[in-house]
Amino acid sequence: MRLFLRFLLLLLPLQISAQTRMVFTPQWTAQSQFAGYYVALEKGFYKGAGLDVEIVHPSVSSPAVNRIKDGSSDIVSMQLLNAMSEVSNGLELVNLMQTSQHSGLQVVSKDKNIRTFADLRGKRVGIWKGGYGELAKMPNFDMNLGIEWVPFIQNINLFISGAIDATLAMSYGEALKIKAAGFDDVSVISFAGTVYDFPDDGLYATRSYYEKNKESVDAFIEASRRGWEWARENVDETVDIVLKYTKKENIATSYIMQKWMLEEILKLQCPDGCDAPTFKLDKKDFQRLDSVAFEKGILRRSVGYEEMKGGPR
Amino acid sequence: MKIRLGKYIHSFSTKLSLYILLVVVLVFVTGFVWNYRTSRDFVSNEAVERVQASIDGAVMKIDNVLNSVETAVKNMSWVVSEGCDDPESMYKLTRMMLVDNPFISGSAVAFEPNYFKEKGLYFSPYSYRVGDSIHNKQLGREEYDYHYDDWYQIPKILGKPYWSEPYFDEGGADIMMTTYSFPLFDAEGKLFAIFTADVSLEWFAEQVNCIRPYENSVNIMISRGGTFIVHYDKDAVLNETIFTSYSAINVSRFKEVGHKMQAGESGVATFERDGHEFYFVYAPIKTTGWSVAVSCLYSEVFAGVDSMRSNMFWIAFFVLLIMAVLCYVTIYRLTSPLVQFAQSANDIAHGNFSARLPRVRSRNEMRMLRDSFYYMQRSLVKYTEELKTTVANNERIESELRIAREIQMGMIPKMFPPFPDRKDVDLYAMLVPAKEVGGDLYDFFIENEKLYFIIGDVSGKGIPASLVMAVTCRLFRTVASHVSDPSEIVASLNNALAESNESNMFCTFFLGILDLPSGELHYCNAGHNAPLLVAPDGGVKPLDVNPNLPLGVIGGFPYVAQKIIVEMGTMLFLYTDGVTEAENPSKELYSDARLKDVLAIACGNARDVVEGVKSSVDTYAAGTEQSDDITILCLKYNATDNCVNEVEKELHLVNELSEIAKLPLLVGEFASEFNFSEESVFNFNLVLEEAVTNVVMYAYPEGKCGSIEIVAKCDGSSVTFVISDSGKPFDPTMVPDVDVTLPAEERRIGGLGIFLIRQIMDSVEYRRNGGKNILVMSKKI
Amino acid sequence: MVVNMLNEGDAQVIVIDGRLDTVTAPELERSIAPLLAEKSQTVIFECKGMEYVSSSGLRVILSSYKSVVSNGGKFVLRNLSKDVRSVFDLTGFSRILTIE
Repeated sequence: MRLFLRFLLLLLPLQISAQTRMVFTPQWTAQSQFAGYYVALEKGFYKGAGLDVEIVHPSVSSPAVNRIKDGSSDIVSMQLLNAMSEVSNGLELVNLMQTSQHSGLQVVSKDKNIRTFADLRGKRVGIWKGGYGELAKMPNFDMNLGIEWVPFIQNINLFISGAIDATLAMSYGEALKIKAAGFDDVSVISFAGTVYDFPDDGLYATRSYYEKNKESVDAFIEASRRGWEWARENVDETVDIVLKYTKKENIATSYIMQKWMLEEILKLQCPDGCDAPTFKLDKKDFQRLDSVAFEKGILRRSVGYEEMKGGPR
Repeated sequence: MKIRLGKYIHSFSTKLSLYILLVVVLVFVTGFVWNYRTSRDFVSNEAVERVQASIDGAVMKIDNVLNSVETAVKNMSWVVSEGCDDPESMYKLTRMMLVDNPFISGSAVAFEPNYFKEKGLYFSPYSYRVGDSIHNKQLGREEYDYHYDDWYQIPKILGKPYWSEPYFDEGGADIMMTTYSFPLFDAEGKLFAIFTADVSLEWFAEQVNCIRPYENSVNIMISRGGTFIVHYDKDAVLNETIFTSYSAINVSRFKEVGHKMQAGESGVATFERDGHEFYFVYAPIKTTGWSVAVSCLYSEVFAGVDSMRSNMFWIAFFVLLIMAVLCYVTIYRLTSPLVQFAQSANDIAHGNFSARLPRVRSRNEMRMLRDSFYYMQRSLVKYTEELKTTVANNERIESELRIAREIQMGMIPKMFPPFPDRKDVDLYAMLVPAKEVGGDLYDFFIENEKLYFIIGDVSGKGIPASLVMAVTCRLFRTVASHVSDPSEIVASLNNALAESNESNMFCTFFLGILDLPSGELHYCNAGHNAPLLVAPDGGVKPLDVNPNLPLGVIGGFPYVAQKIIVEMGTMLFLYTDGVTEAENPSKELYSDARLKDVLAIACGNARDVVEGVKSSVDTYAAGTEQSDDITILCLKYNATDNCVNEVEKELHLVNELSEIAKLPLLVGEFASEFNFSEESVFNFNLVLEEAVTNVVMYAYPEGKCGSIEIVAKCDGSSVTFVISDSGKPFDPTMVPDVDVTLPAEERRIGGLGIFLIRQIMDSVEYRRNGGKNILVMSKKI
Repeated sequence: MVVNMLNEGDAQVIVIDGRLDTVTAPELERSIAPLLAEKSQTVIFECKGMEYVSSSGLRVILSSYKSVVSNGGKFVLRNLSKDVRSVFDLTGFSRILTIE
């Protein structure tokens, strides 16, 4: 009897150490844009929080939004507007963490005469085929610029070849690729600082999932925060971690590229004048975006802040 | 000696060799440096050209291939346009592309959506290689909408053919590809399809990698976007651009070059990384707008030059070394006879005239030297022989001269004492000729109680003077035998000499005739130095003489004689100038003064006096060669006593007052010998102390070290102290006498010393002589 | 030369033994210098042991005499030997100094 009890006792730790499994799918392919999560995984922050996290990257055929819809991923990162759009279409998502406080959208052009949105009148502008450019279309809409949108999938060859006058770019993405391709002397129109400046990336889960696994999700958020904080302190090591993932995913990139991207992402998390990233979704920004997007018909209905509020308080 | 000489010669060889070496080295170094500089520039240019040539070669090949692809597509596009009624025929065309062009690995004709309505949105027949065979398939499908792919969209928008940026083939074989897209337009000018040809970049990479102008040169190829198509680091390919990869180092320069490459320029740049310098040569691939570059290390480029330089250096070094050694050896060999010559010279100098001379084979300066040496040897031998003969002759003459001397000496009386029985005269004479035979003379004889004595000095020396001396001597005896007046005797001698005096020799002469009973001296001088009279009390003064003229100058000269009375005890001292003109090593003359001094203190008989004077002269001369005959004749008239029991003591003091303590000793010695009274001892002590004190205080300036000589003499009847010092002139006798009658208050402190001396001693005399103060004090006891 | 100083009543006696010559005279001078500065001193030179005197000695004696007398004192020389006495006579010192 005693022996048996002892045996049971030995089994206990095993049971307690059974961790909650979670699948996280970032918005796009492996890159520094999701550095914090890689760090949290590599550095054992998730493990320490009792989470067995698997990071599964999306593909063209299996984008993040599909995965969260069908439940193959538990938590995804998405653009705020996209999430709001999905919510307005009936997918109940909650915002767990806001990693980008400002818009990273830019319009980049080789033509130095293109300095403002107005200069884009009648021009050919590259836009993501994948639909991240909804926000970008707003100025065109407002000012009736008659922009000819030329979709690109995921590189700047359109821009390089000169087939387009300007291209939409993420400050942490295409803009850096353009820089890497040697185009220093380009004209950049940033959405940040304009009326179209809205928060960007964030983490989302379905409401039902969130409510059922509140503890684990909160732990995930916490660990992810830790990951991002660690990344802020250890940029070079973080880049090395990111490169592990890019290699795994066969992404064509370089150390410098990922470093630039990480630096830009960290800036978006905590722009000039901020002491530490809050990772919170700002209510005013949310409501502003909601009203503009609804007005322009990007959202079917207005989405409430409380509705999407999630994450640890 | 031999070794030292050898060393010198060796150093000569060394020196010369070193100089030559130095010059050559300098020339070498200059040439070297200049050569290196110019060759470096040359090599640099050559290298760049070479690299450019290799690049151009590769680029040309690549361009050719790409052009061929373009041409193939262009040509085929016409067929495509024609065959557009039959969609399925497209496969044939695409297939043909592959068959005809080994470089093309895939080809497609991608149509606009719904161009062939039955084919739908994504009609794109596609042929591709799998191993050796060619497969067909449909490229586009719902999952893959190619219309937004770069290879489709960009040429569509641009409306012209487009070479795509390189990409990895999705087939998973990691093959890098590029696609040439050729837009096809319908009759209305609207695009309906894109005709593509996929080209594997493997072959191109190979071409680029074959550019290997230097072993460690590396190559890159970049696309229009700066992405690496070829890179020595596999990971960089398609991942890095030229801008990202070199952003860490030397960013600005690389950006510049990167832009130039993108712009399709060709050129050369130099970079530095990790301390190494590189040449970076780039050229464009015009067809696609890509660029190829080769980077080579300076060290490799110049490796040849550097190694050449290195080799040259070592060669030069060894050559110089050998040259230096050869130089040294040659010079050494050439100059080694010099050592032997030195040795021979040594031997000859030691008297070995038949010393061996080194053999010189060559017919150059060494030969000349040897011949001169030989000639010198022979001359020396001859000369020595001659010398021997001369010496022998001289010796003969010498011996004859010696005989002559003997004869001459025989002419003058040499027996002393000459008149041992006579007590009224004590005479001694000495003649020391300068050479073997001399020109001095003396003579004396007594006749009829008259002492005839002469002294003379013939001008000149040697045989001529001695002959005249002989004549004069004989003549004197002859004339004096019948003439008694001195002036007459002298006159006839003069006439005789003057008569046959072709050589103009003359003789100074003194004749004295002393009447021994009366002491009357009748004398005649003929130019000779006055004899000295030494009074019995020691006073010395010269005899008053009329110089007249020396003998032999003018015949018939009227000589005047003189007369005096000689006191008893007086000494007459005759001498020639050989005495007073004797030189010491400093060429100072003995002088009359010194002679007088010596005579003043001389005592003893005539012989003593003469010998004393002679020894004094010898001492003074201190080894200097006697330049003139020394002749002395001394006679003492009626000396009553010889200085029997005369005691003389000398004491030397240093001028310190403390030395006074030594004085009592001196006095004490006399006291015991002569039984002085206590009073005398006291007095003499006092006198000496006072005198010496005065000398110490006044004769020598402060602190100057000097000596004081005290000579004390006593003959039992009187005591004489002579105190001499070589201080500044001080005559104690000049101090005025102290007035002993003054009362105490008026008495001066001082002057007592000399007063006491004068009171105690009988005579106190001071004289300054020969740089010395001499104080003579004497007292009868 | 040895110099000793004694008191004889209220007189100072300076006993001189040995030679008073050029060398020793300064020593004597030094020894008695303090003495000579005092007023109304009776100074006696005891010369029984003085075997010899020279002019330097005479000088010191004369200057001592002058000093003492000018300070209102008395100066006496005692027991001079015959030879020494004759020197004093010779130099006329006997007439100036008080000799006992």
